[in-house]
Amino acid sequence: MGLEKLIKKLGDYLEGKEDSCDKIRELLEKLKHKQKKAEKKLADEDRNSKRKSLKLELKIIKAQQKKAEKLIKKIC
Amino acid sequence: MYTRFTKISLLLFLMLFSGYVSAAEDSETIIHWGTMAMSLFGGLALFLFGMEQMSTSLKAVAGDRMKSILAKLTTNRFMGAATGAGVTAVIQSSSVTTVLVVGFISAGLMTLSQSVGVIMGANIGTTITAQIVAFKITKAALLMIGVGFTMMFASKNDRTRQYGTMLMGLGLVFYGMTIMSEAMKPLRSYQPFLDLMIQMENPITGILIAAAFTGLVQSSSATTGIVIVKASQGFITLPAGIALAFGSNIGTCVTAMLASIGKPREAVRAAAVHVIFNVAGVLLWLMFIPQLAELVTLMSPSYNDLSGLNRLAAETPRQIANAHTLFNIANTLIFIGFTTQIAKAVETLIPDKVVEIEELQVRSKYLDHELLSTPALALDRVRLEVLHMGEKVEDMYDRIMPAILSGNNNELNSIKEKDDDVDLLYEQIIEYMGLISKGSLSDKQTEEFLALMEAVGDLENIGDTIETNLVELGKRRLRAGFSISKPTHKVLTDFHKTIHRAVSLAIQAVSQSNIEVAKSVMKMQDDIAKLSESAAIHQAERLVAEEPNRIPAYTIEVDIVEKQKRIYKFARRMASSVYAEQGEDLPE
Repeated sequence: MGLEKLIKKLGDYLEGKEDSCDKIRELLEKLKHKQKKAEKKLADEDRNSKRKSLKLELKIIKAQQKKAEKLIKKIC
Repeated sequence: MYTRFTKISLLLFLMLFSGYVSAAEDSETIIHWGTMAMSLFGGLALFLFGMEQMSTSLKAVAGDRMKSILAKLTTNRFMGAATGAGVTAVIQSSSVTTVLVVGFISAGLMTLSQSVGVIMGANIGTTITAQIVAFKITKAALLMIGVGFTMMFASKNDRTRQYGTMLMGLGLVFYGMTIMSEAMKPLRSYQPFLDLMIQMENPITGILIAAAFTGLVQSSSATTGIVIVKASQGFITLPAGIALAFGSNIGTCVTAMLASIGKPREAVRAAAVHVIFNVAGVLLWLMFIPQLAELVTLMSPSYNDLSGLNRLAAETPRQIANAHTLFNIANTLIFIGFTTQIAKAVETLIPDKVVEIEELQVRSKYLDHELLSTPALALDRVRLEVLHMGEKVEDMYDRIMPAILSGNNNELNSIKEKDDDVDLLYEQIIEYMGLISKGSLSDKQTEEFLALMEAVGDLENIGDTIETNLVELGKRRLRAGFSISKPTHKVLTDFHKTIHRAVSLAIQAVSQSNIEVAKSVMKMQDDIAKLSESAAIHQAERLVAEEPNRIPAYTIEVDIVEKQKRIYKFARRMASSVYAEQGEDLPE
């Protein structure tokens, strides 16, 4: 590892970025799991109102994923 | 609330008693098990249904007032505890009180430390049900049902109908208790059942059974009510009844903890306070059940003319109710000095999430499903969410003018993306409002509901106007490759500032249901007309000036003013929804 990279890593660590990145990655994993669960529920659901709310939940999850991915690109 | 859990609990209840069917054949006592099971089943159903009816109508009648009381009277921990007790006694649900408290914390109206006192008080408030059912006014049950039913169906006044439902609910609670009590009478001489009841003398067993049952039926009042029914037949001794009441305290906070999973940090922390306080309280008193029993025996009425089971049946219900109240009051007095420490411990235990802010950007903050049973409070949550959505729209509007006048594509795209969050929030609010509309709304609440629906739509339209029209104007300027002159910059920025103020006030008017603020939005019309006129004169002067790109610049500038006037129109409509809600006439 080059000195420049090492200093950047150390800086990131001191600013708490490393920690944040891990947490965002962790969140992304959770969101993936949530998405799978919601998709499965949606496939099994017949009631219209419940389907509607599950579709909204999936939309929210996807928006969160998009934001988390963007944040990872920006700070990690 | 009771649907799935009630079904399970009723099933368990029946299963518990079906175990004695075979045993009964060996006994000399003739017990009609089928009839008994039916009576217990039906009695419990009536009891729980009555509780739900009573609670729903109490929330509808008093929910709104209770909320404002809770918001105002929690300045110190003692007032907080007293208010928490009073509010919970009226709305008959400690979980609703906790949810309200969470809303106040999220909105910055209350600190976690202040909320600890309220949560402690809520425990005292729940004991009022046991006190009422221990009155044994079962003879009046059918009269209450009859009068309540008449009020419900004969009155055209919404409030009277709600009071009727409440009275009928209370009657059903007592009637259900009578049926269960009568059904259990033969068990007084049935030895295997009496042996089972002796096992309940072990406080740990009693606590666990009551905690599990409370978790199943999601109501500590239901558990203590049933304990009192059993006590009124002399099946339960006072120490056993106290242990069961302790268990109901634990069961109720476990339910709250489960309900907080996946909720914002404030909700999890409030639930944790509830758990810590209730479990610590039970652990503290576990060794002193006999002493507590002695104390309440001294405090409660005694029937010296009776003996044996009959005396137990006459004295124990009130003693259990008193023990439950005394235990909760004592715990509050013991722990109230430590609210700051409890709050700090919970904050350390459940720290803030670093990435939570990101999550919150798309998920609604205040739309709590627990409050759907109390339309007044659920509508209030919609108002708070309008404020949340409004913050995002205002942020977009704040950034749009500099971006149109001198920004780049990235800035414009970032504003456009922000509208996706606004749209998602809008969808969540509409879905929540759909659920509110399924409940029973009073005439006033229906008006409030419709006005809010309109206001939320207008706020979303403001977001859309920024996203589609104003962002596009910025892109047009970039494509044409010219810059806006300094004097025009000033004219448009001044215009933007005024409309921005109108949007902020409209959001404030809707979120606070404040007619005075709504009036100030309406009054801004003249100022805006004047500003629009002076902008038009300025634009006309610029049009005749010898400048390159003056034609495309002119059309863009005119469009910017027009689109902002459209935004003001939506702000006015939001303000007018407050007029409609409060039954005031719109100004000419």
